[in-house]
Amino acid sequence: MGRQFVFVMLLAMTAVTGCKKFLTEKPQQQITAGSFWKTNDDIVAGIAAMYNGVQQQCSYNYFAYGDGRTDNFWVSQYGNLAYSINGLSNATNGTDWAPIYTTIERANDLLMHVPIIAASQEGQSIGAKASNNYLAQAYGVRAFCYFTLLRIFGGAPVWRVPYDSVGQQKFIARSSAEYLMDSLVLPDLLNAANLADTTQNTVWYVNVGGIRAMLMDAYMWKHDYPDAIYWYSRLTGTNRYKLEPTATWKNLFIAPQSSAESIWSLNWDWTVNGGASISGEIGAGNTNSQWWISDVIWSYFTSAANAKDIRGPQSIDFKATNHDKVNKFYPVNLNAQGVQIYPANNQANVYFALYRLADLLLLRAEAANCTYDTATAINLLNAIHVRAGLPAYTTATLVDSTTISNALLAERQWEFFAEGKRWYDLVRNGVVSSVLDPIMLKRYPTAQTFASDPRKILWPVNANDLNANPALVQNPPY
Amino acid sequence: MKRMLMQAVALLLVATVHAQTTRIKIIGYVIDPKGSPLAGVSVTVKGTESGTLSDSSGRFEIRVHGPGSRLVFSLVSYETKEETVGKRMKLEVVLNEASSSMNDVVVIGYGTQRKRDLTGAITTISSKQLEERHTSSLGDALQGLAAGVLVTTAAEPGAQPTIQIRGYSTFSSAGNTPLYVIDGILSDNMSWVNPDDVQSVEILKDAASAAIYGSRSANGVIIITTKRGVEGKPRIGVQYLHVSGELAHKLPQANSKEVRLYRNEQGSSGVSTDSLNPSYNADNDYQSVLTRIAARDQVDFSASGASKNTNFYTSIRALDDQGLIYNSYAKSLFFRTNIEFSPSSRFRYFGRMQFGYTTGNVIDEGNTIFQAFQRPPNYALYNPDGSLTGYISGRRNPLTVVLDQVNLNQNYNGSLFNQVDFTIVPALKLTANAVATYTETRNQQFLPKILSSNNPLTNSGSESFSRVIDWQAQSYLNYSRTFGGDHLVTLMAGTSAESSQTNGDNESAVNYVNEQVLTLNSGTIVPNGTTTTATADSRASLFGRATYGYKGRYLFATTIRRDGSSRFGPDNRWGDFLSASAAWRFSDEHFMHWSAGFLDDAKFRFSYGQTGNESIGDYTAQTTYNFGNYYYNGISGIAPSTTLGNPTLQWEATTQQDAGLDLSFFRSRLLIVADVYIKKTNNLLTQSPLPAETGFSNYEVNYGSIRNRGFELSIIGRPILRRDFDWSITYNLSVQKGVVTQLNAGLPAIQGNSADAAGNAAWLLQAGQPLGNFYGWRQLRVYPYDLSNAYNAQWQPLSPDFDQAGNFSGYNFQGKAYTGPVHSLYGKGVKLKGGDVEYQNLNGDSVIDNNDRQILGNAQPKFFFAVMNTMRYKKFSLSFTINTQWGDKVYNNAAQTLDNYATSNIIPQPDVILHMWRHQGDVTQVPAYLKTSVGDIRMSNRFLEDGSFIRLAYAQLNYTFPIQAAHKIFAQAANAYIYGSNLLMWTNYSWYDPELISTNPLQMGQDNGSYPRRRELGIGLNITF
Repeated sequence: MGRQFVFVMLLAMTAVTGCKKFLTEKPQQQITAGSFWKTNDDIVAGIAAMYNGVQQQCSYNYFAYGDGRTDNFWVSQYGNLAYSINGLSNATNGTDWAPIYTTIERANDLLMHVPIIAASQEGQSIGAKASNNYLAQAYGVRAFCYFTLLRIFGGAPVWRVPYDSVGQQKFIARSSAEYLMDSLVLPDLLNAANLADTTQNTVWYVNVGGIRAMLMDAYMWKHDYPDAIYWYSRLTGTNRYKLEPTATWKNLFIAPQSSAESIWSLNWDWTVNGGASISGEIGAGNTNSQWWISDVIWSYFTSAANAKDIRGPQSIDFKATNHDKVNKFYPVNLNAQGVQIYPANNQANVYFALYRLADLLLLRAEAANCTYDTATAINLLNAIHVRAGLPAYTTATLVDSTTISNALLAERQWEFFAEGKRWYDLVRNGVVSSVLDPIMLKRYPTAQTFASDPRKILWPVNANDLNANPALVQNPPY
Repeated sequence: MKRMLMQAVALLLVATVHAQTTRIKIIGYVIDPKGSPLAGVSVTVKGTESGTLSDSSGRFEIRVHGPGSRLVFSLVSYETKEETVGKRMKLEVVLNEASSSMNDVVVIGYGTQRKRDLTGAITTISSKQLEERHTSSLGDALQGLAAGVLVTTAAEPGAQPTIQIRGYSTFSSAGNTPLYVIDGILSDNMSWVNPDDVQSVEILKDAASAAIYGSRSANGVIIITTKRGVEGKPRIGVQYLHVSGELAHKLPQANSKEVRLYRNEQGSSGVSTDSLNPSYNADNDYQSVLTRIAARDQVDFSASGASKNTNFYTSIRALDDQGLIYNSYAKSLFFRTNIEFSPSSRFRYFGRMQFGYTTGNVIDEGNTIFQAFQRPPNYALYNPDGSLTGYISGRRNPLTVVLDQVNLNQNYNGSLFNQVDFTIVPALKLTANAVATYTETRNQQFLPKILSSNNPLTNSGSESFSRVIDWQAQSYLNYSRTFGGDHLVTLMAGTSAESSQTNGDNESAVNYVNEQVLTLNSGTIVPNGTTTTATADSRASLFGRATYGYKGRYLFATTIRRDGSSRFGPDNRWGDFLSASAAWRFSDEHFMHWSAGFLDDAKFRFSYGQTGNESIGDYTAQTTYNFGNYYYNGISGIAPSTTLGNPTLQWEATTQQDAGLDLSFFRSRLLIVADVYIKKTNNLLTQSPLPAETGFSNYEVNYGSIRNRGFELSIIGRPILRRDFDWSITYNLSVQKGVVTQLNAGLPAIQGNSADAAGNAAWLLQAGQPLGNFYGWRQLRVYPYDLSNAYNAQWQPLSPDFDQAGNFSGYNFQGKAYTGPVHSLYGKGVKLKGGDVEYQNLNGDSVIDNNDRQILGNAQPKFFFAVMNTMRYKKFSLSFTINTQWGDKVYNNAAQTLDNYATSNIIPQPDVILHMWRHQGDVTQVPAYLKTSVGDIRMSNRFLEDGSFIRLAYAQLNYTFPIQAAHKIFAQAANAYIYGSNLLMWTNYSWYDPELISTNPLQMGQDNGSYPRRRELGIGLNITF
């Protein structure tokens, strides 16, 4: 028995020694959290991942938020009618704010680690200018995210630091939209404006122009016209931006880096990013669209009076008989029959024009109109109107601030068709119900109107988000 | 060993009887019921000491006194038989296998045990039972053979079945598969085992049996032992089998006339009505076009033999399985060589070499068999010039998909196993083994231009490789000794280690310049989808077992295992798994003597044990940053994985209690095995969602529990046992119910379809409820009139009245005129009309929404049941198996996708086209055609069907050629058989087959229109030389 016992012990001993090392496996195709955030290269990779987050959150939702519920489109038989008939539910695509918070997490990660790396031995060579510009971008992108959240969902939970371990408090309740605006979006943007390297102006990144444009947009949302006008002047004060000429208007969407009007556009390369989802929604070669172009838009652009508007044929494919192809984001590529050839939805590059001068210029016109400076308003409006190939408005037609306001809204609708702006324009001007209800009722007599419950202007929060965080409260009445 | 001993004893007998005077020389053969010769059978003349042994061809010679002499034939594991010689000079004697011999040795983890000494719930399946099934995979052959083991066979060529022992124990699909131990090697699957190589399969069902395999044994263990050579003349076996299969039944599908009816309803979107366009002028029966007579050809070769100190077994199998759908096939080749060598009585060497190759074209089910139902039958399959069409109006030509789309798999697996047994002292044996396994898989996919939906047409494809290298080493000591004649003690202790490394790559490409050459020099590589991958894991273990038996009457066993896994954080790496079991053979007690005449053996067993599960990702405990998917403006970004690492993760633990009763009546002619068990899994490894605001989507946690309770009953009987006719029958019944007893609050309660207006299946996951609860709306009716959407204040439906002119004249409630306020229901913000579906309004508000959902049924069968029969009359034997699953619901998503009107070029089933609501007053259950849904198509009971079925699963009629006939072709034995599978099925289910493979326990029982199961008929010939 003794001999046998020794055998057992020997076996056991050989097993135990060396086990600890044997059982340690390091990930082979990832890097552990502790080994990352050491060098300038890590920051560059982190910045790229943050913008990739912006791409992902815009891929589908930018359109769903900015155009999906508006009179620019009507849901086709392949889409979810809920968008068009004010029937959003807590499961509708777009109600999940996770993609936005993923970007926020990446921005927070940068805001935490960039100063530490910059102060470390390895980070000495980065320099204050570069590291500040990294921070400016993180602040800018974070503000962009929260600005979207507060406009679409109202209040939202505030995360200013990255979440990185299971022990950390994770159930955060929603702060109000006002809090988000005043304590997060505006301070972040002001921080970013201070930190940004004013020599950097690549359109693919939220450069100083994008930050100032966002500041103006945010103040417009607050109806704070003096501040909006101030930041417009700071934007134009960069002396970088001017309207794209009529002939090359399309460049804004197919080559924004070559246009002096582009302020901040999203880069897209389907070979590494996959296709932009929006293509499958409104114009891809391999699938039917989820949306039809609304009659409002279709009849405007196809009426004889507006034949000169160069934006129509460059935005909408009038040859698509079921009215479901938006060609705005693609270069002209015709087949032998003269019909546009669309990329497959998984091979589509869409350079979302997040901010371009025309947008800010018309916002400036809106601010002017709201501050009783109608001359400036008409002037600026005409800059866009005339560029589109149309005759200038005169005071004969734009007799008062209401007509100007309507003309501005209409101009923005035509100019920024499918660019994710219309919904915000309607909300900002308080005309969601008056514009959308009649159209909705005409097509769907039993639809519930915005007038009957204005709370439905906000989107519901997705059920999965609510489930995962018991501290969240749904937007009433959803 | 036992057999050799018997032979030796018998030889001694023979030696002593030669002196006797005997007159008549009798020559005979002893064979088994299948016609194989039996060697070493002891043949004695009753009442004398005269006797002999049969040789390797089963032949014997003996001298008897006269016609009245009786011969007695006996062999271990076979029933003893007596025959009167009569006037015959040549005898052919068939020995039946004993139903179950209590002295049989059963393989348990790291050792063996006599069956009579078992204390746990173990089912043994013999090679004989498996051979009768003639399935292409071992898993399929196990169906119905063991109570508590649910085998769901797959229909596609080359596909493996799912096996589940005693219910779902966790939420992940990987965590619910049993552990396979193939000749001592731990494995996740048994797809590389040739069923004909299997000597026996032991299924360890309860925790006390399985716990010796600790970490991965929560779902039971299936131990597979392959064949070895048997002493005697070498045996060479050749078998050929041809099986033809056909589509068991066709489903109704709209013809072009019905399509036209449907197009009328569709109105403007009903395109493709152009009667002059050849593309739209066909009337296809797609099911006939796509399917063919399936054919399976199988050739087996095996050779085995043994001498005093070596034995070998080697086999080759070649299989060519041409599936029901054109161009779907699986081919495989399996090689195995088992060698044992014992140069001395103390040392024994085992070598096992195995190599397998499988290849097959996987048919895209969604684009073929399912597309065949979706695509309007009037769309052409061929162009006027005879070439195949591609994409018409958004629908692919399924025939072109079948013929031109490529999804080719090639898999290679080889393993090399070495083991030495060293007997240190007679009671103590050391075993050490090591195995290395290499698995490579290659997949090639290609979608030709003709099937492209792009404009202009583009082709695309991909190629991927993966390589897994796995090694394992085990060493253990077995000690076994009987003290004082009555006290049997066995001890086992050992250690093992294993590690596996996986590397893979995947390349995607588009725009192949030539569609015949699919290597990637022909295509342009796409960075998105071109990657290499690498991952590794390792495990180490210590284990031991002690058993004690007193006179075989009181039996005790305990096991311990300590497992370490690289998947957990450094502080939680190790898990301990304990078990204890006891058994009481009360038939040996004095007070049971009264029953000795009919009850041979009776044993009560009880066991308790813990088993574990570690089915999580290799690095789930660590927070990682990933690359490759976060490009922006030409720079590859690095971002945190959306799954947060959780270093506090630990083993998921399953505890199981089992009580069993083994009864043997009438000299083993009736065996009853019954077990009840409670299996409880705690600390479930589940993905728990993190608030989306953290930027992460989930993390793995230990939270939640599932409790399974069940009852298993096996009855094995041999009601008739005569010289020319015997009949044996086996019943296996399994009843089981699993309930989620504790649930992570953050898990989404709705699994699957969470939208409020889509038709695919949804499940409710809730504490206190079983897994697999279908959750949705209950359809009451379709409103006959617009005015039918009217209710009183209690939400009771009002009926509209009409005057003679047909004008609405008011409402009545149960026959009485109703004048109160009228309420109406809204769906998705819209008031419902005639032709819309009325769903049960559970919460009594005016809106049909998520709050009106309810549990509609459950996807798990209430019980499953198998009856296996074997009848032999002289040289004919007939065996068949009937399989039953009862009480489960299946969500017919295949029909739902056709019938939901969502896509204008998908044609509903003819029944729907004919019965859809069209006019005010139509009474039907099929809603009106609506281009945009207001919620008429929801996850509802409309497509939920009863999945119960009774199936005649296998049948075989066998004829054994007389030995003399076999000898004419220089064979030792030969038999021929007709074989059939899936011959008959009774079910109310309306799609192809209610037996579904469901790998995800949270989303089971949804039929998406999978590959149809075939009805097979085959013929085979088996010759042993």
